[in-house]
Amino acid sequence: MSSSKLLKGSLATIILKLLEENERMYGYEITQRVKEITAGEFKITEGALYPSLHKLEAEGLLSTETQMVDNRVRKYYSLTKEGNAEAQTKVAELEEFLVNLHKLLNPKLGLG
Amino acid sequence: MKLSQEQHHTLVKYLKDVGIRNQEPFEEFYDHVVTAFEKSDATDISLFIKEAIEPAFGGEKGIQKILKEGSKSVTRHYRKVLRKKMACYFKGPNLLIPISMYFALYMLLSFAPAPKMIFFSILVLTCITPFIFVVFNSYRSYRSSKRNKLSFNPSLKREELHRLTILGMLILHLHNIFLDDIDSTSYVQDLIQWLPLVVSGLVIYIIWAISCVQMVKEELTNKLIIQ
Repeated sequence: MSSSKLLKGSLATIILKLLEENERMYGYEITQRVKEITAGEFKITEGALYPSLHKLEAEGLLSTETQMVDNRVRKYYSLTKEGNAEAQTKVAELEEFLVNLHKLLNPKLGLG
Repeated sequence: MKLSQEQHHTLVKYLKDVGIRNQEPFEEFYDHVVTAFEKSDATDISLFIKEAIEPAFGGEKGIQKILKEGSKSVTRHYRKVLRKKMACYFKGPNLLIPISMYFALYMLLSFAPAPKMIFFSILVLTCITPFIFVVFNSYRSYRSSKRNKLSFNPSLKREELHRLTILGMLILHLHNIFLDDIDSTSYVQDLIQWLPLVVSGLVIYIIWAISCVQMVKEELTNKLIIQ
């Protein structure tokens, strides 16, 4: 299975986590930040990123503001109060999942 | 590399050809492509679109899918906001608003000499107010897009709010048909018989209109920061 398929289910958590660490980000910046942190191992496609961003915005977890940059409009996303709480919950859930997954993949560690 | 005027036109044409006609996704995708292009070593925008942008967005189909999903999200968002705003009037101390509205309308329609006229005026006012807000905002958006030489369609937000106000106008239209079919005397008699129901409906309708106006005012205020 390619990493992109594994990544898909965690995309919302990744976006929320990145926005928790950075006050506000725009679409292109998010793709580049993921690439940079994972040294190019994870690549978020725009086709997956934007629907996810729009969905989180519609759910009230993200708020947006626009800014004129080089004579064009740039849309920035940032976490709302609810988004901030959701980011913490989602990250904790994912960390717990990864610990359990690790135990499953290395049963000896789980028993010890 | 900075985008030249010719490259700008190529990109605008591409975005419009793949079906991006609304202001918000247009501005967002335009900025995305331009930023990616400027940070790359590419010099040919057409080639860059074909080799880097199309695969990333999933081609025309992928872009259409993003737009469709975005439109669905906007619709869901506005219906949710509207439901929340309306629900606020039926909770806690705010409940006094619909209750006092109910009694005021009940008294007005019971004792006023021309209840038909009052009923009609209230419906016209409640229908027209959100509609005026939407028309005003659409006109502002049209002027702004014309100034920037980009003929956008109204944004998804405006389209959805427009649909909501059209619903109100349709209700008014049905009422007009209803008024034409019966004579005034029997209408007043019917109104007295059905008054609690009519007034309840009217109160809900007014609250819907107020919520709609509040939403238009809050959601269509662009948060634009000029650098």
